[in-house]
Amino acid sequence: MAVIRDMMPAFELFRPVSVDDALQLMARHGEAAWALAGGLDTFDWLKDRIKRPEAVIDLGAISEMRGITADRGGLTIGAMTTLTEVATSPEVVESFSLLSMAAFHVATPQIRNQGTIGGNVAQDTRCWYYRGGWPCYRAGGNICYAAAPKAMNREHCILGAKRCVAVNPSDTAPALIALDAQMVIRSAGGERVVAAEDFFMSPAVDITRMTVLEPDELLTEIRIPETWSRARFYFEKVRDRQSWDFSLVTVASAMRMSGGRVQDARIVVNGVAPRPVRVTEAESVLIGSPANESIGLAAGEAAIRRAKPLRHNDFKRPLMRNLIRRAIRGQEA
Amino acid sequence: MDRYTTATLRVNGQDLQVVFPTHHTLLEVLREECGLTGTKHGCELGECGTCTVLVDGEPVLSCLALTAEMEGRSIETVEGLQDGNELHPLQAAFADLGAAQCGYCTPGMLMTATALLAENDDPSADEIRTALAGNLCRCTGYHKIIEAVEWAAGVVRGDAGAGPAREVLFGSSVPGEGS
Amino acid sequence: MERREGISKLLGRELYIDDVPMDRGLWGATVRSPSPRGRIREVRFSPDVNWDEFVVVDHRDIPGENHVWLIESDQPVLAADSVRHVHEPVVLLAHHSREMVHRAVRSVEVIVDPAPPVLDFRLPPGADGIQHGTDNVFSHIVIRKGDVDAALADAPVVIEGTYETGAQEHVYLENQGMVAWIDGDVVVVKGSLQCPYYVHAALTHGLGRAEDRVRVIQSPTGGGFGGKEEYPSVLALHVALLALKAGAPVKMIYDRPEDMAATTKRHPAWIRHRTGVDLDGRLLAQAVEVVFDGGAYVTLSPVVLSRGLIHAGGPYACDNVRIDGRAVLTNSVPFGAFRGFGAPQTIFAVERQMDKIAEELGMDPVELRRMNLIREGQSTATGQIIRDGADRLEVLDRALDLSAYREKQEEHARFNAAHEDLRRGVGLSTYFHGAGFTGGGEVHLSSVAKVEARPDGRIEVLTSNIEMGQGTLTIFTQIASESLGLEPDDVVIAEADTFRVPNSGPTVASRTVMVVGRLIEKACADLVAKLGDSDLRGPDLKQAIVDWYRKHSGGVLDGAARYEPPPGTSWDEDSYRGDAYGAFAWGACVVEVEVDLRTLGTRVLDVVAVQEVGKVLNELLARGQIQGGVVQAIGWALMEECVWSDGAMVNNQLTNYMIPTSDDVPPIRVDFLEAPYAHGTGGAKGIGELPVDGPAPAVAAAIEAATGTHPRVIPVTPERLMELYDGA
Repeated sequence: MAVIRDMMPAFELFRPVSVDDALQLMARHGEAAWALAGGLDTFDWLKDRIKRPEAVIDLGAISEMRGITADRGGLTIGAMTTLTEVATSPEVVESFSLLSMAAFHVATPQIRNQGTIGGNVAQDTRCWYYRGGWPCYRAGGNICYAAAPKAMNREHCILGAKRCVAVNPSDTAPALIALDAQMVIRSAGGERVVAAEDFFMSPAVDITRMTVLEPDELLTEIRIPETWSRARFYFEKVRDRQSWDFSLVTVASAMRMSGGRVQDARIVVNGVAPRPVRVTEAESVLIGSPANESIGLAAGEAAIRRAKPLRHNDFKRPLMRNLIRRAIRGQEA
Repeated sequence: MDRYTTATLRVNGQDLQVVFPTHHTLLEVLREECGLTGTKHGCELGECGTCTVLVDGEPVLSCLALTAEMEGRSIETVEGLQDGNELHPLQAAFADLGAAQCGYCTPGMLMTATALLAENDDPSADEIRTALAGNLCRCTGYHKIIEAVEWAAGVVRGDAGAGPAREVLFGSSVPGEGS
Repeated sequence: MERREGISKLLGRELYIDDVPMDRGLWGATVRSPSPRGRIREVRFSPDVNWDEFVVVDHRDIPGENHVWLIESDQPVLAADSVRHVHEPVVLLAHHSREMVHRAVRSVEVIVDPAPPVLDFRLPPGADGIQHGTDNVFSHIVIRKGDVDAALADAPVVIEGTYETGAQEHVYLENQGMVAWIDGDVVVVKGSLQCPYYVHAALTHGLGRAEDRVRVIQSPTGGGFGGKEEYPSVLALHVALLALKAGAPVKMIYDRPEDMAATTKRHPAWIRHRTGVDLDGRLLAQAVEVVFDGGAYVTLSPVVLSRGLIHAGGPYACDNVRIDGRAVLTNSVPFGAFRGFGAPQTIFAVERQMDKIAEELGMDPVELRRMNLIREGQSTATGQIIRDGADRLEVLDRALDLSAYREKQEEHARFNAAHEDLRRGVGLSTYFHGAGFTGGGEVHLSSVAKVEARPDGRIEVLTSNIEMGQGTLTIFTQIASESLGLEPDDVVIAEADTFRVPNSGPTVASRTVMVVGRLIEKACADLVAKLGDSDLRGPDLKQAIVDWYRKHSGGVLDGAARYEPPPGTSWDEDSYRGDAYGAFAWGACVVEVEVDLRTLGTRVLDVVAVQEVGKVLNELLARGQIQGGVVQAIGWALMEECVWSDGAMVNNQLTNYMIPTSDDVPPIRVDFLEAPYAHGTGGAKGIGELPVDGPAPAVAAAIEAATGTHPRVIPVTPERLMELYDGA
C-alpha cells in the first residue's frame, strides 16, 4: 500500500507568454493538457500520482492574465493575479473589501503569494477519498465512499448533493458570487462570460468537474461590477485552526440598506454543498426587513430547512444557520 | 524519459547555471543541483513551511514551485542570510533567545521573517504571528521565535536599546503586548 | 550561556540525515500491508517494472531473528506469513533513483487473505479476535493501597466519571530517516533517533551480529517527542538489511504521509474513575480503571501503561486507592512513546474527575485541590512517601496569583452577561511527573557516562544522550564546565556514536539532565581525582591535564561514573509498591478560553504554567521546554485528532491533522519554584514531560466554566462541544 507521495512523475512543460498561445496548446493537447496556475492544487495531485498529465501548460508567464484594473466603478482582475495582490490591492480593499477579506483567509502567507485567484476558484475538492485516488463518482466510478454508512464525512455536504457529497473548498468563490462577479472564459474558439454563480458545475450536470470550464478553456479574468461597491459586507470562515485550514462553513454576504431596512442582499455559503451556493431562502426573508437578530435567525432557519446532514456533519446545520444569522446582524463587538 | 532544462538561477546574489529535470521543484534543485541543503523537505505538499525561500523578496514554498519558472528571478535561501562573518540580526536574535530548538523549521522561519522585516521593521507581535502562520514549529510553541523577530526588528531599526526586556526574554510577559 | 546547538542550524549548515550527500548510494522504500489482519497469500511484483534494477529484501533476507528487539519479541522486522496492521512492512526496495524506487513501491501488491480485525480497544475481543495470549492483553497492572472497596462502601458520596483521550501524532518537523553502509565487517547506521543503544541492540539481534560489528551514530535530530524512541529501530533494521544485500550505502527517508501513517502515536485511552469523598471534599477512595490501546504489537505499551497508572491518582493524598490498568491489542498501527508517556492521559482523567467532584459537592475546584494535594510526609498511590521540601500549595497559589484566577472569574461573569455569542472561562489543573525511569528501571539500565581529557586541556563529554531540540549539548556543556570550573569553550560534547560513547541510556523520560547530568558531574570528579588533587579546577586543572599528557605519552586521561540509586529508595515490581521515581516535579496550570457559542470554536486566551522542578539549570532552555510542551498539549486538547480507518490514520497530512500555528498560540507565562533535589544534577529534577500533563484538563475545565458543559473526551472539537451544548 503506497503512502509515499513526495515526487512528481515527469511531464512536458510549456510556458506560453500569451493567452492565445496557451489556448492553442490547450487545443492541441486536449485531455492530456493541464493548465498550471499557482501550482498549489496541481502539485498536490501530481505528487499523489493520481493525475498524470503529459503536458503541463504553465500560465505564469502570461502577463496579460495578471493585475487589477478599475473599470467603470468596478474592477477587472486577471485570473493569474495572486491572492496576496487581491487581498492587499487598495481598489479591492476600498470598494470590495469582501473579496480582500476572503483572499486574506486563504491558507498562509506563502500560499497567498503563490496562489492565484483563478486557481482558487477553479481548485478541486478536498474530499479525501477522491484525493486519495478512490474510484468514486467524481473520479469516474460508480460509488461515493464519503456517503457510505461508516464513512468519514465531517467535511462533506449538507445541501444539494447528487451522488457525490464533496464540497467546494474555495474561500474567494462565495465572495465573488456575493459581488455578482462575471467570469471571462476563453478558448481557441472565442470568449464567453458566465456569472460567478453559474461558474461552478452543478452536480446534476457533471459530477467529475468543479467548474463549467471545458478542457480547452481558460478562465482569463474576473469582472466585478459596480453593483455592490462599498455595500455592507460580511465574511466569516469557520475552520479548525486560525490559519492553513480549509473551511468547514463559510458565509459571504453583501447588503444594501435603505431606511433601516434591507433593500437588497446576496448571501452565499461555501463548504456545505458541491458548489458555493446563494441562499435565496435567507435572502427572501431578509429583503424588506430590518437586519436584526430575529430576522437573522429566521433567515438562518430558512436556509437550513432543506439540509440533509451525513453521519458526521450534523454540526454544519447549526453552524450555517448561526453564520447567516451573524452575517445579517453583524459581528458582536 | 525525463526532460531536462538548463537555466541560470540567481541564488543568494550569485548566478548559477544548472541543468535539472524539467519537472523538478525549486526545493529539489536547490538541494540536489545547487548543494544548498539548508532548505528542508518537510511535507512536500505545502503544509509545513520548512521549504520556504524568498523569490523576488516574497516567501514562497519551494516544494510547490517549479524551478523552470525561476529564470530571471532572485532566490534567497538561509545560506545567503549571513553577511561575511556577520550574522543577520534575525540569526543573532534566534541564537540569543534559543529560538532554534531542533532547528528543522528554522531556515524557513528565518526566511519568512526576513521578508516581514524588509516590509515592516516595526511589526507588532500580532503582525509577526500572522506573518509566520505558514511555518510550523513543534518545539518552541512559537514564543521564542516571535520574541526573536521583535528583537531583530529593533536591531534592524537601529534602536540603541533594542532587545526585549528580561521578562519578555523569558516569556513572562504577554507577547501580544510587544516589547 | 549561549546555546551550543544554535549556530549551524541558523546558518543552514546543520546536516540532518536527509542533507548528507549520497554519492553512489541507493534509496530505499517500504512496501506495506494494505490490510489490518490476515495471512499473506502472495506478494505480486508487477511485470511492468524491471526488477533486476532493484534490490529487493523480504523476511527471508533477515540474517538474525525476525523481530524488533524491545520488551517482547512479537513485532517482525518484515512480515513473513501474516500481518497484524495496515502499513505493516512486508518488502523493502532500493534503487539508485529515488524517483524510481518511490514509483516502484506502487508496483508491488501484497495480497492478504483477511481475518477479522480488532479495532475498538474499549470492547472485549470476540473469540476470533484473539491474537495475543488468551485475551489480547499486553500488560495488566494493579496498584493497590488500603482497602478501596470498604472505603467506597463507607464513603458518604461516590462519584463516577468516564474519560477518553485520543491518539496524538508527534509531528516532529524532520521525518524519520536513516542511512546505512558497510565499513569493513561493521554495519554502520546513522540517522534521526533518540536512543542509540536501543537501535544498536535491535541491529545486533535482527542482523545476528556481534555488538562490535554494529555501529549506530545519531545525526542531528529534528524533533523527537518520543516518536524517535522505539520506531527508529524498525527503520534501522530495514535500511541495514537493504545495505547488506546491496553492498552499498542506502538511505531511507520517510515522507510526511508515510511517517504519519506508519509510525507510532500517543496511546488512546479510556479511563473510569469511582471516587469516594466526604462531604467536605476529602478523598476517601479512588478506584480507577485504565485501558490503553496498544495497537498491533507490544512495543513499549507495558511501560507506558505503568507510568500512566502511577500518575492516575493525581498529585493527591488518598489512603485507599486501586488503579487497575490494561494495555490491549488492536489491529492498529502500534502506539508508542510520546512525551509524557501515558501520564497526560491519566492526568486528564483525574483532573476532570476532580472538577466533577467539585461540581457535585458544590465546591470550588481550587479548594478541593488545595485540600487534597499531597503534603510533606504523605504518600502516592504506590506508597511512595513524599518528603522533598517542595511546597505544592505554593505552586498552586503562584499559578492562581499569576493568572489572576479570581479576578478573571469576576471579569468573565461580567463579560458573559454582556455578550450574546461569546463566553469566557478559566480552568485549573494540578499535576506531577516522575522523572527518570520507573521503579527499578534506572538500576536495570545501569547507565555509564564518561569524560575524557584532551592533551590541550579541553574536556570531552561522552554519553549516548542526544540533542533533538531540547538543548542537551548546551546543558551538558554547562554541567561539565561548571563542575570543572572551565570555560564552556573548553568542553566538547562527543557525537552519539556507539563506537565511542558508553551506554548512558536513552534520551527519554525526562532523565537526561537529572540522571545523566549527575553522572557527568561524578565522571568529572573521577577524572580530577586521577590527577591526585581533587580540588583542581579551572586554569590549574587545565594545566594539570596538559602536564599529565606530557608525562603519559599515548595514554588517555578519563573519568567515568555508573548510576547508583539514591540511598533509601526501594521498589517492588511485583506488588507495584514503593518509590516509583527518584523525584516528582510538580505543576499547576491555569487556562483562560473564549468560546464562540455560534460556532462552538474555542480560542485559548491565556496560559499560566507554574512548576517546581528542583532547580532550573538553564532558564532559557527550561522555558522553551515548558512553552513548547504547553502548545503541544493545547493542540491535543482542541484540534489534534487522528481519523482511523481499519486501524490506520487516514488524515495523514498536515492540513488534515492539525497542529497549532503561530496564529493559534496564546500568551504563555511560565514560572518556576525550586526545592533542590539532592540526587539530581545541581538539584534539578526532570522537566521535559511535565508541561504536557497539565494543559489539556485545564482547557476542558475552562470550557466548562465558559459553557456549563462537561467535556470528558478530547480533543474538544467544535462538533463535540456542539453535542454537549444544546443552546447552539
